[in-house]
Amino acid sequence: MTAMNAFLGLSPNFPILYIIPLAVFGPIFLLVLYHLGLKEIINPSPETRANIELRKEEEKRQAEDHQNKMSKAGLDKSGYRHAPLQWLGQAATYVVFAVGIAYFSNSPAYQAHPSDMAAVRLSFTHPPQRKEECHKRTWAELQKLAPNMRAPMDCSRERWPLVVDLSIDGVQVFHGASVPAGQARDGHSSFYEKFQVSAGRHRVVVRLRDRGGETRAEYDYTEERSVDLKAAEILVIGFSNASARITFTGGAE
Amino acid sequence: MQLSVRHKLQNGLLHIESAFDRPFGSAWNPLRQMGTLSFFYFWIVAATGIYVYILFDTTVGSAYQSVEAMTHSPWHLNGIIRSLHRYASDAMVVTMALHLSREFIMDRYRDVRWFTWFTGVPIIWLLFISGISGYWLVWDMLAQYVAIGSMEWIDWLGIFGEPVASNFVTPESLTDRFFTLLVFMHIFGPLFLLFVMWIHVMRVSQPKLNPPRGLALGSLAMFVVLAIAWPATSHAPADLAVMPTELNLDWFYMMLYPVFDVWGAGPLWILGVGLSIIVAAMPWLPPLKRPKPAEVHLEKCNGCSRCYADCPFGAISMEPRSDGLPFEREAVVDASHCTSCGICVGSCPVSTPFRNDEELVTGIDMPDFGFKAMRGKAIKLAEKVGPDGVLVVGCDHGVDIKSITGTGVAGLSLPCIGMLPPSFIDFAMSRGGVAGVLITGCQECDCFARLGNRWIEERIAGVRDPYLRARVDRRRLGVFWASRVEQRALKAEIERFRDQIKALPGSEAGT
Repeated sequence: MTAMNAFLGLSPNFPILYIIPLAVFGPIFLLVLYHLGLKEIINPSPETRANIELRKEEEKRQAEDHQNKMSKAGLDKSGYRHAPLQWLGQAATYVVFAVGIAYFSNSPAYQAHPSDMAAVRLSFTHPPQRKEECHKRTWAELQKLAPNMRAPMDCSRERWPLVVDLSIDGVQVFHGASVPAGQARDGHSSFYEKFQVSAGRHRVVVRLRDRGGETRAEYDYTEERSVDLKAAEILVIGFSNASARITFTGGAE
Repeated sequence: MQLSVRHKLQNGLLHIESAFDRPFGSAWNPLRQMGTLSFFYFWIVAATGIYVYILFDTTVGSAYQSVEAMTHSPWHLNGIIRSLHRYASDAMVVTMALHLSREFIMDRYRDVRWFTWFTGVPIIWLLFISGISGYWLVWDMLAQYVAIGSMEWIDWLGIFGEPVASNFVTPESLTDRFFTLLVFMHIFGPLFLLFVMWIHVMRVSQPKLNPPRGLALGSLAMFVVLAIAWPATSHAPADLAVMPTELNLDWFYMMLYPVFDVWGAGPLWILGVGLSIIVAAMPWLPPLKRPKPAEVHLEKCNGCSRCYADCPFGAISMEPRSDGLPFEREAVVDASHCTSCGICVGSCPVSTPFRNDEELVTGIDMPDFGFKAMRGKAIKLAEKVGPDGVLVVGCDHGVDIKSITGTGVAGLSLPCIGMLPPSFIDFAMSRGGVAGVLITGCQECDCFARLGNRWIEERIAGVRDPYLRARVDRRRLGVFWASRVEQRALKAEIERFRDQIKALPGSEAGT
């Protein structure tokens, strides 16, 4: 894009590649639209113009006739005129309505989170280990399979539930298991939990088990940290799949 | 007589509406225009939304700055447009809620109206989706609170592979791509809302979509003044590293977020879905009442299509002739669309009481209270009041006609005043011998069958078929619309009308 911009002497940020298709196909598109019917709207034929005029005149005549007849019968409402006091009454109604709208559109204030409390969010997505270990297929096993099905590794699809345990200041605040997503339970397991804690220093221990579910006692990952949280500050506990470790975001150590 | 709760509510509402009639007049009364006002506010929101979108930056890093630039633009023009966008959408919640409440209280949601009522339920959801998604885009602390709350609420359903709320965990996790998705939600939400609003009125014949001009201009002026005097502002920019603490919620759209904070997602889903199901099912809940639909008598139907043109619910269609008579078409009633208002009887040119036909059959008639019964009753009432008496013809939804009968005044109540064929007025005066006929019924713009009082007025004026004959002395004919609670006003009008007749030459006092 920069070369094209330079060639045309335009700023490097000018989206010339987006403009070119518009400039080429835009007029063609408009031309097609014009001949499909836009012509009759933009530049109607004398016949269409005459028809429009006639229709307008007829509508006007009918409306006048309607009003005259209704008026003659004493049933015409268009002649109704509001008295000055009525206008005042209307203005007062509008003022009450407007004040109500304006007030409740941002009042009264709501305390969404206590001002002296901090928050901890446990949020991550991680694929737990497979329930059955993968094994490398032998030559004989591969030969038994159709040519298009000869994957070198034989893996089960189902994965273990992911188990997470969170303790703050020695108190377990959360312990839960999350089954992997998908019909075959072969996707990621996710956690999204939130907790309120008082502002100040806290000792946070996070433990994660991605193999064996609740059948094992020991955890595969453990992270322990002392964090100082200010009021309203959020400590986010996550898991980095790239570095295979529990992460902490926010809060001073 | 013990009044039901609904009846008491109706009377209360009618009293309030009557009070609003004083400053606005019945045609501009905003309480009777909540549906049309909702449409009008939608157009204000749509027009201002397009303007705001042109100035809006759809990237997460610059959205807030672009909104702030709008708010503090020179001459505040863009800020006024932004404020109009907000206040009109807030007002739409109010008019929608009042429209729904009014239709419920006035019992206008059963039978054929089920479709309009039922399709109103998704409109509530779509209006809230449209409004709330708009608040996300400002990307201030309020947007942060509302966006995360909304996503946590949706995540409870577990329909996504991973929680959508996790997009808002850290500043890095919220991408421009995801933010653009939110922008699209705010564009497609209102578009879909408009589509469902169109479906909402689709089965209504001649729907009224625009408010009276005076009311529209008044509302628009109100929004402009409000936008100048109290411009909409933003909170501090969103910061995903901290929790939003004190917030100025827009309570029209966000009243359920504090409930969410206390109850959590599950109970709120149960509340929202449960209430929606109950509201949607209301047309089928007891007490169910369904009068018999109109019947076509083909031997008297010449296929003139006046009933087809006048039916307020599109229950009549004109089909090719099936009985061999030399007419091109015949009227066919779709029972599922018929409210049994009888307007078709009033529009049928064969509905003339002057005929000597023993059977007195009309082209289209009501099985429960037919044309013949109406004529018989009118003759009896005319005999009762005598030559100086006044026959008051009203409807079952206006002032109780029995309550206004007395010496020299007799009342005939029809399912809708539109059921009255104009020839009946002529008949009551020339054959029945009454001194005058006073037409009454639901208050203007509030006909229970939608178009009854408009059609009868036009028939009297000779604008709409069938016309009232020119020979009828218009001085002996009165029209006075009054709601059920305006009995005193109707009585006063009857007295005035009687005095007017007495003063005419030829009458007892006027001779």
